[in-house]
Amino acid sequence: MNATAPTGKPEILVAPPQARIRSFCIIAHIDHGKSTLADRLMEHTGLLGERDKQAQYLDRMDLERERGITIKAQTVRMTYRAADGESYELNLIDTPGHVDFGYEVSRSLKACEGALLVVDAAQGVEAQTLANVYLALDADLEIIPVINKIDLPSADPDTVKEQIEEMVGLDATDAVEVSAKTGLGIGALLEAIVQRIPPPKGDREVPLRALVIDSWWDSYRGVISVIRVFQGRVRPDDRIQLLATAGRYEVQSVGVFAPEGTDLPELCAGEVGYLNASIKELADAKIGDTVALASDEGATPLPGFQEVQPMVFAGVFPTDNADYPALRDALAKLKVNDASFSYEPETSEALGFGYRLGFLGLLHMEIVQERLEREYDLDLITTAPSVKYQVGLKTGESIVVENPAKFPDLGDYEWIEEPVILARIQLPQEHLGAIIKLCEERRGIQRDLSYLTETRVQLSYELPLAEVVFGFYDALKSRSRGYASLDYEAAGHRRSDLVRLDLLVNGEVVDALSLITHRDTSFHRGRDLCVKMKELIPRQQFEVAVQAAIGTRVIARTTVKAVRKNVTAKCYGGDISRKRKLLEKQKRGKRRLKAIGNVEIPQAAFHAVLSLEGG
Amino acid sequence: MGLYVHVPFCARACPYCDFDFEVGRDPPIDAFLRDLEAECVARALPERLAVDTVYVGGGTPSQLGPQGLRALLSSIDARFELRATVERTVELNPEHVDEALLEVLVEAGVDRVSLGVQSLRPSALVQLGRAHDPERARRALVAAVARGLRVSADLIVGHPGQRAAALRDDVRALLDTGVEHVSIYALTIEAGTPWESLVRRGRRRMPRADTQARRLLEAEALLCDAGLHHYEVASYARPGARARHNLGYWTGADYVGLGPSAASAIHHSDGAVERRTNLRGLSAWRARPGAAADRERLSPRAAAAEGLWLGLRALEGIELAAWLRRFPVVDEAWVRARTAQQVARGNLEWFEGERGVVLRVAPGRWLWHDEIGADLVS
Repeated sequence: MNATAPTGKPEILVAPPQARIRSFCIIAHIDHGKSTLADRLMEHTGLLGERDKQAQYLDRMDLERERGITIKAQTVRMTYRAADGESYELNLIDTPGHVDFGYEVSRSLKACEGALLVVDAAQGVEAQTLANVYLALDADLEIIPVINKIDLPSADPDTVKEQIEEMVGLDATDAVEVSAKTGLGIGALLEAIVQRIPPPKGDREVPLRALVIDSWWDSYRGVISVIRVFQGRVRPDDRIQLLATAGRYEVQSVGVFAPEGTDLPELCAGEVGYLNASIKELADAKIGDTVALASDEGATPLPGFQEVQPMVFAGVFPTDNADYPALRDALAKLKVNDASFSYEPETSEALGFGYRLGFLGLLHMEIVQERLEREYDLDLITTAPSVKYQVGLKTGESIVVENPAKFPDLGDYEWIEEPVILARIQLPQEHLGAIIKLCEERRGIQRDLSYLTETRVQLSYELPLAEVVFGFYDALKSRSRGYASLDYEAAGHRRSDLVRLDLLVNGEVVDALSLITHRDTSFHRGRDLCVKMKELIPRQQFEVAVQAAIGTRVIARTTVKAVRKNVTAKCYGGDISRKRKLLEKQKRGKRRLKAIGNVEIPQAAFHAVLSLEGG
Repeated sequence: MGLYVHVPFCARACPYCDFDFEVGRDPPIDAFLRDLEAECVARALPERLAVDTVYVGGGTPSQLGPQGLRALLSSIDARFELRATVERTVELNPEHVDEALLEVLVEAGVDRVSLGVQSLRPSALVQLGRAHDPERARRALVAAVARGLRVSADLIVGHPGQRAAALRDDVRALLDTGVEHVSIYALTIEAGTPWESLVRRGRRRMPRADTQARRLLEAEALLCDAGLHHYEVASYARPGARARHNLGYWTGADYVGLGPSAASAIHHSDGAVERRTNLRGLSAWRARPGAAADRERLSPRAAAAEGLWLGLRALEGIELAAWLRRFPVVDEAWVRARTAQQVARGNLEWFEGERGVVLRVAPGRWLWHDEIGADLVS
């Protein structure tokens, strides 16, 4: 039971007793050093040499490295010989860090018994961290406060400890002080992990139950899932079933990332590792699903599974219509890597053929768009995001509309229901007035207001999802100077007095610019949008009139004046190559403009509604 | 075959200029002539290569002084076959023009001069960093005309603060001197020029495109009323006075460019074009006189697309039949498809000329020539 894998690679324990397993995640604000700390732990336990250390190993995708955020969880196994002379299996479970991926976070936390709360010694507790801290507390995790960057001259660990006690309500007396950059305090942190985080529980001699906490597509091996085994054990050649999808598979291999994939003879209750069972579709290995043995008829799933549903929808169109087949192929390929977005064909009068994509949230939308452009070299126009409305038509029929352009005309419907969410906002008391005002502006209904500490408040608001989609998070951060945190969950639908606001460019309705808005705020939105459009649409050879209309009634209008010349007469002594290259550059600058009739409209115009302040 | 020689010397830097030049009081003429010869050798140009047009530009060729220019022109005469030339032009700064200089030019067979007048208002000349005053410029033009030379003058329009009345006075004063050719440039501020950094420091304004458009149209009206013909985007000429060397750039003539940053082009019978640009900067060029900073070979089809744009610089337009003979790889249907969008926008138009169909820039739409060009070449 206590053998080690017989390789020259880092020592990996096989099925150690649960008393010698610790599973934990790291909770940190974006630039407070989560990835650097993870690297340092791996180095200290011999997993990462100086040579093969690609800075911040855990953030594997380029996109993540560039944005400094973790999108897909990556989980590693370390072996740590503690001061007590015993070797411990440490599972570092990486979690996504954004509200769009809240469900994935909650599943990752299920795999942990503890969490490291990393706080920058100079900057203190940042609001965005708090939502995840509370999720971790809800999941009953043992939280170890870690004060990072204590090597900085501006470090003030005592104040930060006070902050942790006050804002988070945690005892910070035993907070571990480290510098992930220099490695200072890492040994003490590893000891704290072993001593303070409880070992997992779970009977190894009963039928298998394991939770899928992450899945992705590997082009060589098919779907790889990271699982946490709660009871029993799983080995290669086992016949298994996934309870939510009822799929049955044969296990090819199990193992851990250390940090490269290393196969093991088995994973036992209490352990975290990967499962490869030749699953062909990512959609068949859903996060939150339960793995059981195929022979275990009537097995009950672990609690908490949810089908992840797209919340936000947007049209995606190639700027050049000839790229439509390329977009179709790219979406099919991307879907193999990301099961959480949806797509179906859409036709727009203004933008031609494209797709309507569904996303978990706005960040997810940006990520998908960027991956399409970067990995598949496509030039795309995405429309402003929208949500899914239920509409009761006068004919008695009720329909679902997720595209403002397809929204029925004024007078053709009896009622509209829009999706609402229950938002939990935590904030320092001094910003309470500003944030309540924001929520009211966004048509929120207050459900609860409670004091967590003397100075810290939790607000609950029922808010239309559409209002949250349109820049709510940014407004929340700016009005609370970054100190309000937000997380939310779907809370059904509610009836609202909504209308479709159309934008007309030179007298033609541009369907891709239509949006749904509350009747009371439609006038302001229309006016603000026209003003914004005037800023965004570049001056062209002709005057461009921009109008906002509800039904046939024009409620606002602006004009983009014509620019009167585009000529440089110099001929550079016959240097035609240079002159031509300048023209080609001018033309390339227009690739991201979509010609609608004679008018060239930039991508930013389609997102103008997102930058409008409030309703 | 045209010959262009770039003389990269200036007494001072104009704040808007991004051409290749060196500032210095005494240009090293002997060394420069040796370097030109070294370039001819390094590029293996045939001895006595026959050329039809010669253009000595810069920089400031007249910065060489009468003796320097005499030496340059005679070394060109010795190296190339000039007996069949139809035009030999030298660019001059007004402050350098005197009888001695004009004498040298006429003796050397120069028949055309182009003067960088830019403006005839003292305040504008200060703003543009020019060394001459209006009176000096007028005297230079009159003297050159009197010496029997074909005279062209450059004017910069649309510099900040220039009003319609100032432009009108400039144009009238210019025409009074007897010039046969005028080039009109709207002031453009290129990245990296002193003007640009002055703007960033709040010391200068950028010219405004809308005002420039008005000034350009006013200049067009004034010059055309005076009997000059607007034959090329930036050029106006009395009958018979067109700049043949420059027209060659737009109509597919071959040319050899010598000196730093000079460009050369050879056109093949299938329409393909080969081009090269010399290294920029006197010292870089001098160190490797035969090296190219940039070379390109355009396929017949790419050259045809570019040929549309270049041909349309001539405002009389492209005679389709003759143009298609230069680009046998494309046909009328190709041209019509390529230009359809600009025709639909009203920027280009087809009409029936004496020698068949002609494609041209629609009246007034030459102000959009870059827009049209960008659409045609890419």
